[in-house]
Amino acid sequence: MYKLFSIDELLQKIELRPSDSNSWMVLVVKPDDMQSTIEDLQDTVDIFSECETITISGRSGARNLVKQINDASQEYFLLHQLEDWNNNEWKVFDGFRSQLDKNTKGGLILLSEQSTSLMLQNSSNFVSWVSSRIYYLDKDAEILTAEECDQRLIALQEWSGKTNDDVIVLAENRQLPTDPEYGEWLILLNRGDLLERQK
Amino acid sequence: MSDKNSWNEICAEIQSRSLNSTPLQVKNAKILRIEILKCLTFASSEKVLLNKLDEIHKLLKLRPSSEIDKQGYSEIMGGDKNFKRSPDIPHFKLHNGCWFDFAITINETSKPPQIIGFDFEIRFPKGEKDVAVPFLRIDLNLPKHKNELENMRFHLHPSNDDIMIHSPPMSPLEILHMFLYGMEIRDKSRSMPS
Repeated sequence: MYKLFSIDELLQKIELRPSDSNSWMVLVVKPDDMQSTIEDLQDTVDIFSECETITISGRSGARNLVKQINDASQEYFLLHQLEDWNNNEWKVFDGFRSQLDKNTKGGLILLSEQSTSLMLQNSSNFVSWVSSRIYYLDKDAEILTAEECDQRLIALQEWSGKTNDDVIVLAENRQLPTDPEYGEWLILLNRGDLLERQK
Repeated sequence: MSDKNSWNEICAEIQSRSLNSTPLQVKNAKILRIEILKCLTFASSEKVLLNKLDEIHKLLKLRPSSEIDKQGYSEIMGGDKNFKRSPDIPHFKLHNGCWFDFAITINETSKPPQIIGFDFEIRFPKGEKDVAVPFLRIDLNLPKHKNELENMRFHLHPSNDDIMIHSPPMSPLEILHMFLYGMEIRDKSRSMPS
């Protein structure tokens, strides 16, 4: 799961998704950031998706959610309020995975860490489908001074036993381990562009 | 139309025509910033813009206006202020060697919110014989700026800070598109007499 440090990064990924593919993404958000994130995205996501967008709540369950998606005239979907879903609801959602494939533009699901855990355990088809497009939004991590950046890089080097150059070479050769720390490492090195190559 | 007074009248007419034709209304400052982000992101993906995606995010800031100290006035900064045209100050870089920055002031107390000022400056690659960096700047001064009295609030500077020419009625997004896609720099030898 790659870390994103801003909504901008997410919007850029939405814009640069393949235009002819039905691309769904999952954004994992801290509870305190959930409301502001959904408000930000409601205002802006259609600018980047380049199509009409609808926000749908998952409060009435997975079956109803998928029905609303199928019935909607909009092409891009912003799904939220899936926090009440239990194991069974996520299994029901997983059973409808192929129906999400039918629209042309895709969508974005906002989840808490807790709900993400339930999704990972119970929606293996969906998780396998979105795979590299599950992102963790950590707005707080962005505001680092140059000194803090250096300290964090030293900590990452000690943690992994690798140098900055090692990590860039691994990323260039698409051999970067999937631990989120490596994504953060590339960002700190101002090489966030290499994250795109890992898919 | 034969004296300075006439010229001032002409300026007033041009100024009025230009400002009335320029789309300056926006939904809000946040959405304008996002529209600019989209434009820059796409240009980066096409390699027209050399800045990487995370760099674009860092260069493009929305904050309370530094020019108008009142609630509801905000500014979008694309790069840092760079009066001395120093290449060391963060800016946007184009594939053709040009580089630019901009600032936009938005009044969100008006309904609908409105762009009330901006400056966009693009610098061109310096030739061997150039003393100063060649540039083009397009300014919309804030209301009540001294240039408004001379009916030159909306103007451009062609590589000279002292020369002002009325600007065509271009919105910030249109100017940005012009910087990205409308300023192809050709080999100088092609335009020089042999």
